[in-house]
Amino acid sequence: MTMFQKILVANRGEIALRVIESCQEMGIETVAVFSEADRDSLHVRLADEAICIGPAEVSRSYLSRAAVLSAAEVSGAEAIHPGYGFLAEDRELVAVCEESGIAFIGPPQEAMRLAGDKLAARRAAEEAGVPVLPASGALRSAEEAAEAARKLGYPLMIKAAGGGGGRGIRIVRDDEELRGEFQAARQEAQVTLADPSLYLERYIPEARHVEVQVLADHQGAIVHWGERDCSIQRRYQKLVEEAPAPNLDEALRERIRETAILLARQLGYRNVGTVEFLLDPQDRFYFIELNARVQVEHPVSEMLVGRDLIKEQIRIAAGERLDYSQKEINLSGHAIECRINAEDPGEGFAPATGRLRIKSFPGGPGVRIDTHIYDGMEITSYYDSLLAKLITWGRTREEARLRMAGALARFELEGVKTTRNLCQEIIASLPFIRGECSTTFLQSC
Amino acid sequence: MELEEIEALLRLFERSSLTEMVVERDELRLIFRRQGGLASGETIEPARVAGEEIGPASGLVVRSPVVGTFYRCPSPDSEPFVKVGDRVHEGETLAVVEAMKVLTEVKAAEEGIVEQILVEDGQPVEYGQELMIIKPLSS
Repeated sequence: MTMFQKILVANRGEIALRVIESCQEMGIETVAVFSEADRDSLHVRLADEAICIGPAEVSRSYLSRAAVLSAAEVSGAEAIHPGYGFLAEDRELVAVCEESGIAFIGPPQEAMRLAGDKLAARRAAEEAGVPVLPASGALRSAEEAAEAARKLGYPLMIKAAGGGGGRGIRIVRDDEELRGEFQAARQEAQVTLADPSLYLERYIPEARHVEVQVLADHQGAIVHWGERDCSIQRRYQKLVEEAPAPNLDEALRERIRETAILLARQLGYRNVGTVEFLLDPQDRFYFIELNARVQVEHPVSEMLVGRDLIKEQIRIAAGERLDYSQKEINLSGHAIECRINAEDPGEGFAPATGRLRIKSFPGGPGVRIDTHIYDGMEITSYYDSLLAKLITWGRTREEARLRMAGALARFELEGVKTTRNLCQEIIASLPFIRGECSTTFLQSC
Repeated sequence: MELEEIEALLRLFERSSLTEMVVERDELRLIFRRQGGLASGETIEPARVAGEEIGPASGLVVRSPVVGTFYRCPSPDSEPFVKVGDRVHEGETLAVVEAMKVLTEVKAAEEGIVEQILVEDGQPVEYGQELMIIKPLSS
């Protein structure tokens, strides 16, 4: 297989820009797609071609398989890069791509199916001897759920087999909460997910979220790019991430990384993916899910490895081998990412809108910004609230943290409420300085 | 143009008996149009294929409902659906746009004369792209 000549980028925002820039470095032509609301976006301006695929509503533009595929067809793109979100984990799109001879830059259908079905992925993990949290099977009714809860014991999480990225998770502490939340979760899953099956899983309040970046080529080689700690979350959505995970016993760290490789192999995974684990206060880790896409927080791993993960995705999808072994990957220093979202932390992280003014931009050694914003940009509520990912690298965690403090102070945005101030408070807080934040950290401040 | 001015124009239009009013200034073009004639209980179709939006020419601009390939004929060796100068009735097929082997018909929103065809047969079109201009018979 030879390298692609032209790739369609089926996304918007910073990730679309990120993919376009990697393609340009590789000498690959790019096709941007956009909705009517994104006509002035940077990804539209920077791609070699741009095609309007629909109105602002995502269901008729970025989430429309027909529109995306049709744009690939008329532009003669040989491959589709889905970014994250939207159609990134859409098995149907992968299936149609396979039928119509368009390469999907991501895992093949079967690997995506296994990764997308959390219950199936759990079973595969158990077969491989990887610990998983105690859980029920698929539940058909509230009565079945109550029965399962008696066996498992509270607190529990209600999860959707077809869910992911923290969406739809509900924590219940007793039978009464379970009864109420189960019905609501069921209705939500039926409306939003192709597979509405629900299950219960043990909830560990003081856990840390640790995930491993894996890369698997089509020849069977699998490597990891180390782990990330993404414990700082609001409403199960990550806000601050870092790599490597702080305060981890080296033997444990190595075990987590090796387990991720084992799981990727067990699931027959291909291309770039993330194996997510929960680490409890007793240092026991449990497999949660495999994300079959590039993650928002991938830059922190790139900063340690010194390679471009998007290029790796493209190379693997084109059939190339990973041209380095695990031993040749040198994870150097420490990286932190803060997500600057158009949200009001004072109002329950409600999406904020308005005309964005950029007063000052950070820079300097070890500072990276992945963003699609420009001065005067209108921030609407049509799409994801992510404005920018601010990433800093340092030889030590403390150097990266101090650089982040400086970079955040220099990142002055006006006109729209953002998460910047909250990020400043987080990185200056004692639990963060000590590297002791768990997933409940933001609830307690 | 200031918001106050647009509001004043809107009030002027409301008081008048006009069915349509066009105001042009510099780059801006405002069209005020009355819905009119809808009996109670009748509904407006929300997703009309052909758009009646603001365009550069005098007529109604027909826009592509999907991204795909524009075809003027129902099949390669047949006559085009319409030619410039043809009179078309409301709901008449003007062209088709093919996307992943699915054909979407482009229909006339109202009765009129085909004034311009802006896209060549077999060309790719994007969503919302201007395809034709129809001069309404009512105006």
